[in-house]
Amino acid sequence: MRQNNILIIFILSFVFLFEGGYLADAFARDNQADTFFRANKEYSAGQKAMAERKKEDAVGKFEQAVSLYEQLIESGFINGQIYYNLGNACYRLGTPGKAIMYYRRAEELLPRDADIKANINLLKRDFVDRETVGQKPEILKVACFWYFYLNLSEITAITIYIYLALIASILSIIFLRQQWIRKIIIIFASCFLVLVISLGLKAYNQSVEMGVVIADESNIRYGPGEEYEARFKIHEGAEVRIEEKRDKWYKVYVFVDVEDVHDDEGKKETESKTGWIPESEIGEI
Amino acid sequence: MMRKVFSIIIFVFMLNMISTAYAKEVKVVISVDKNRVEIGSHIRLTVGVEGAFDTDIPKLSMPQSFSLMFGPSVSTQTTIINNRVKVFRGFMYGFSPREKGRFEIGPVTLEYKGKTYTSNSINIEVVERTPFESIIDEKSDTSGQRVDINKMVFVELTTDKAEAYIYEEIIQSFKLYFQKGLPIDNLDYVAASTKSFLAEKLGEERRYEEVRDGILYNVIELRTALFPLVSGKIKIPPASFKCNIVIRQQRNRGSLFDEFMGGGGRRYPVERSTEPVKLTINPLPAVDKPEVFTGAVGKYTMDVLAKPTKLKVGDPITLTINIRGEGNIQTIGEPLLDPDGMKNFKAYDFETKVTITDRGYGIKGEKLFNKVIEPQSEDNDFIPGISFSYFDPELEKYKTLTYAPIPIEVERSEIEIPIHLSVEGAGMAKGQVKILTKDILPIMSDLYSFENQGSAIYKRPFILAIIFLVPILIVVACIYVQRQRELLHTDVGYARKKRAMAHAQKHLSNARELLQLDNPSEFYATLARTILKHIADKLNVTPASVTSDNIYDILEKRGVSDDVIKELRQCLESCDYGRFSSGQLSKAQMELTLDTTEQVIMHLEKQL
Repeated sequence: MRQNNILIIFILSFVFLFEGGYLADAFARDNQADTFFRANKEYSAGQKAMAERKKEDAVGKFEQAVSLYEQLIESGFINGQIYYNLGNACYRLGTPGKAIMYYRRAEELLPRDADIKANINLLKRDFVDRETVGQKPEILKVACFWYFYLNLSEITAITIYIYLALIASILSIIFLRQQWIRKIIIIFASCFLVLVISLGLKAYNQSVEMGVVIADESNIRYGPGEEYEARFKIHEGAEVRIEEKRDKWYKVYVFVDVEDVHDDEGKKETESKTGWIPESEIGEI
Repeated sequence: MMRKVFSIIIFVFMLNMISTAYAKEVKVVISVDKNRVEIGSHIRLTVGVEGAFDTDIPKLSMPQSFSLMFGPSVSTQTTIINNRVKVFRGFMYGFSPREKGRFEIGPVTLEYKGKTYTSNSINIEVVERTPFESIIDEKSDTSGQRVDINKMVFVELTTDKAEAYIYEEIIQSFKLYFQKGLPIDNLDYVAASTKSFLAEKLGEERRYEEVRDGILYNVIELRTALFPLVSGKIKIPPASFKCNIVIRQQRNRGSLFDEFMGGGGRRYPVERSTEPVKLTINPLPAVDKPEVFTGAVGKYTMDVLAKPTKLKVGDPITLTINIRGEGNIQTIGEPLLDPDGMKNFKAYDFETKVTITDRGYGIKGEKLFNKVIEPQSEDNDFIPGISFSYFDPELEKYKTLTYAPIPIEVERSEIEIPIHLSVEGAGMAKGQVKILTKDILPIMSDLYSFENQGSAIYKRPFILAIIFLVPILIVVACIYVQRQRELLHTDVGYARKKRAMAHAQKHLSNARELLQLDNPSEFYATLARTILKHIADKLNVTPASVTSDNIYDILEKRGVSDDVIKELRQCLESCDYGRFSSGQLSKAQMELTLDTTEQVIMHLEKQL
């Protein structure tokens, strides 16, 4: 009898904690949604002021919107919509480098959203540096659609569901001994394998640190310091891969076309495209 | 009835119109099917009258050595090509020469409506029977009847000029001649390679008749306009042509099926090539070349239209410049707007549209240039002047067409030129709606999907470990349970061994009840039975085979310790004593025996 009471108390405590956590999340979400709504309103007001040629008002509204969006992100509430809207607001304020940075973050969370891609493409048209990042072939995007159209969280969730389905089918064959279940197991196992590989690749890709030049113009230097000679200059909006961090300097690999890189040997080309840039001139994606 | 009468009247009227309309254009032509003939063979001579079909038979005088075989056989033909009516009346004769030599036939005279018309004359060579030189496969020609195919079909490649300027139009004609009435099929024309030229096909193929060396040929002419791209001595390589000639021959045995399927004649594959054509292409003169010249050669005119001419600052004006004429319309370059005058205009790229209006006797057409310009201030009073230069190859000099500045009225705009917060000035695509401004897409505000994506499950390794490990443990446990279940169902010895303890405890429970009921004999019997049954279950033998006499040997062999065997022996002796002694045993002794039994069973459970 006493054991039963302890079990009931334990279950009730667990339910209470779970429910409490859920309600706390719900309240927090309501607060965040309210802030998000206000930020959107500020942005719309800025847009209206822009259409009415009231430049100063427009700038003020956009800055207010940026402040509210950043407040949301600092509170730990992450959503692709916030990053996208923040990118729009940064673009309106004349900082397309930062806009690209936020769009890229939004793209990771909302990979199927066409608006993000459209805005990135629009902004890239005006950047000074020409990039050599090749687009993935369309056939690859169709063949591996789950990789390109799902974010990491979604792939993880689907992998878990498939895994649980695989376990359920294994349990079924243990107890039911039906041959057709074997085929279902093979199907689920294959899907699970593919998803695990995709998950690994996606996680690896996201672990690669990327950045965007947010200064108007940046010198890529031979070493981490002002005392080193500048190798070449890149401009706002150019995307880079961060390879190393040292004393507020980033060693980066640039994707822009660099002059005098005509050697067929990949190594030399890679060396020529790397250099050091101050931390303050890079926005991490 | 009335309609029929009316139709007949119209027909007669039209017939009369035709006969009178073409009476002035009467032409008499004589032709033969071959101009080299062997003695004894026959030639077919046709006197054709073009332009009238109510003439008398033309007067024909033939050499005496030509015997009339048949004729005249009269045929009439009316054709309408490009709304032009052509009337032809043919008088066909068959002659057989008897002597060899060269003979001139004609001219033939015709009197028609008081006028005398004279035909051409033709030369015919009559030869002895000689072996035939041709490309016919001699082996396959089993009929013995030979045919002069070389003269039946031939091709020619010509140009309208031998010397031209670079980019000037040259008309190239490929002509296929085949004797009239000669059935040919599978025509395959391989055009001459024109790498040094831009080539434009001119109209559809032209078909007409032509008398060559007295023989009437059907001609198919394919024409192409060539625009030389390089200067110097250029050679147009030969064009080639393939076809099959179907020659009907006498057959000993023919079938209706063969005739129906076209198998009544032999097919001779014929391949012909033209001679190459040599051209001299001169470069354009450097003297007096205008600065605005962009390479147009030919004859052109220019029209300009601007709409609207009354507008506000920033409003678009569509400028339509139409350059039409003869020459390579496709490659006409953009006309030039005076750069000084364009400083106060925002200009978009030209959009062009080419229309070829005539391909009959050269390329004629027009090229439309559309350009959108936007005045940026009220001070713009004129659209700047437009100029276009071309080289006239006939006059051999450059010409510049200029269009005077177009006056416009520009008013002040109420809306200021916008702040450059968006990318403007996107280019226009051909045939598409003009994109006025390129801007970013609006913000997202979907609160339904507004949730924290930062707390994703992949960021919680502990939960992930639980999610992936717990099911594996469940699977392992299920496999174990299922295996046990299967063993219990299939292995009797295993099942008895596994269930021995449970059975023993059940019997001990019964014994405890008997203890409470104070039934010593039954109590001790139950205890003894429980022990022996437990040992039988553990060893998977029948209970009857386990007795107090052999049990100790069996247990010893199974490796049970001596202490347990000794304990068991004491326990069984106590039970025997309790069952068979007449004296009343105390309850405490019974409880002691029960405890001992339980211990023995526990020890046996561990050691068996």
